[in-house]
Amino acid sequence: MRTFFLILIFVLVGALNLLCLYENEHWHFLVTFTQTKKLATASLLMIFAIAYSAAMDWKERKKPT
Amino acid sequence: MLRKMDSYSPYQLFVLIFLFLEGTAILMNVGFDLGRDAWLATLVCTFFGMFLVWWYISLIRHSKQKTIYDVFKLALGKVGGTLLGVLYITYFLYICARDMRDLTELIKNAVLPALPLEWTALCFMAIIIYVLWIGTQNFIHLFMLFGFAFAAILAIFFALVIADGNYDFHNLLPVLGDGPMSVLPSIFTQILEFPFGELIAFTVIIGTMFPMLPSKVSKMAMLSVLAAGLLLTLTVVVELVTFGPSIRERAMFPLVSAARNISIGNFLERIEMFIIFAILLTVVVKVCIFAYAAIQGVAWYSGKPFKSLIIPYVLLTTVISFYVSNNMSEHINAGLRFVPFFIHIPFQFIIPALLFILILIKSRWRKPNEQSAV
Repeated sequence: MRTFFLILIFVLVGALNLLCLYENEHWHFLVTFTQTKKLATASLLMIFAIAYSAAMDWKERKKPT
Repeated sequence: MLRKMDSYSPYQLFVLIFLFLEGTAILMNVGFDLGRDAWLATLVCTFFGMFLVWWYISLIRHSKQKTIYDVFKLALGKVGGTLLGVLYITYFLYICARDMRDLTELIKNAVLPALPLEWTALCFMAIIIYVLWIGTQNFIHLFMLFGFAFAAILAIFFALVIADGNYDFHNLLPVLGDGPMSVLPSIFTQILEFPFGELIAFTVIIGTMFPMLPSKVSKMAMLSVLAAGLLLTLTVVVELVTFGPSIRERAMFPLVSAARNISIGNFLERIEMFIIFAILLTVVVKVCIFAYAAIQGVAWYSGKPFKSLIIPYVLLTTVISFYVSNNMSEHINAGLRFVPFFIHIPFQFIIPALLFILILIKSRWRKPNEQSAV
């Protein structure tokens, strides 16, 4: 549930951000995604966030009721 | 008098709203296209802002709920309420990311130009996680300290501006030179949304701070908006009298530039570092409140503990802050032209207004039904 919600919110906020970027810069905003350092940091952060949420979900499922 | 169950004082709310409103508004070029009338527009918006905060509190009080997420459920049912709630979480996180980017751009442009933007964002992210992790009561106490530090720095700054004597009040004249109608569009499509309309985030916090929502809370919130608005107006006046409307219009961070201009006896210089520190404090408050509002919503809908959601959502916000725009000028352009009109107005005015009407209709409809049942 936690992981699902995180991914859902990520997709929604990402979509809103892309909409604003497109409205403001048209297709020029794609340049931002070619910066490798930024992309690597962002990917690592997102992977950590999803892994953290998945681990918390897994821990909760493991807990005896 | 407040009831005993409210463990927070209205003065804490005063400081919280005050710092939240100063937040990034004191940093950015508020009313940049209004020239010498920017201060007047800010002053007018202060009074609209007082009405806004009263209206947001009334929305929560009238529905007898704690947060805006409860109000969504009450007004639209479970499915509709959840859908709208998810949209609001998205909105809060997006604005939080934009504010985070404001600060990282400030650090990059004015303090540490060689440091990559990502490093500043990561350091700031760690601060936000820590502040949220220590719990609501503790971070509100922390923000009280921030309030004193901010007030002290700003008082010293204004004293130094006067001591420096490098100002010209003729920069404010003529007042409303292009007529009052030239100011109105910017008031309603720019300054009212940023920063005053952003008080919508308090619809998540205020009900949990004060479950009974006594009238003193509304009064204190309105007083806080008045104080914050007056300070914003004063900073705009200082910016205008220090370097005039044309330079202010082009300045990226006008308050920082105004502080940089101060030179007393060629000895007391580089005051802008203190101003940047004060701005850092207010941005921490603003980002924390938006993040809190969003995470509280996620906790409400997913039924998971608040603390377990802090790290993933602050990381997500940091990632979005990297990609909010390509550079600072585009960031400002989007923040002052596109975002207020297409994102702020629906989330700050249209949806709350429709909700308010819906709740009023429902409560009117319920009353005759209850009477007929008796």
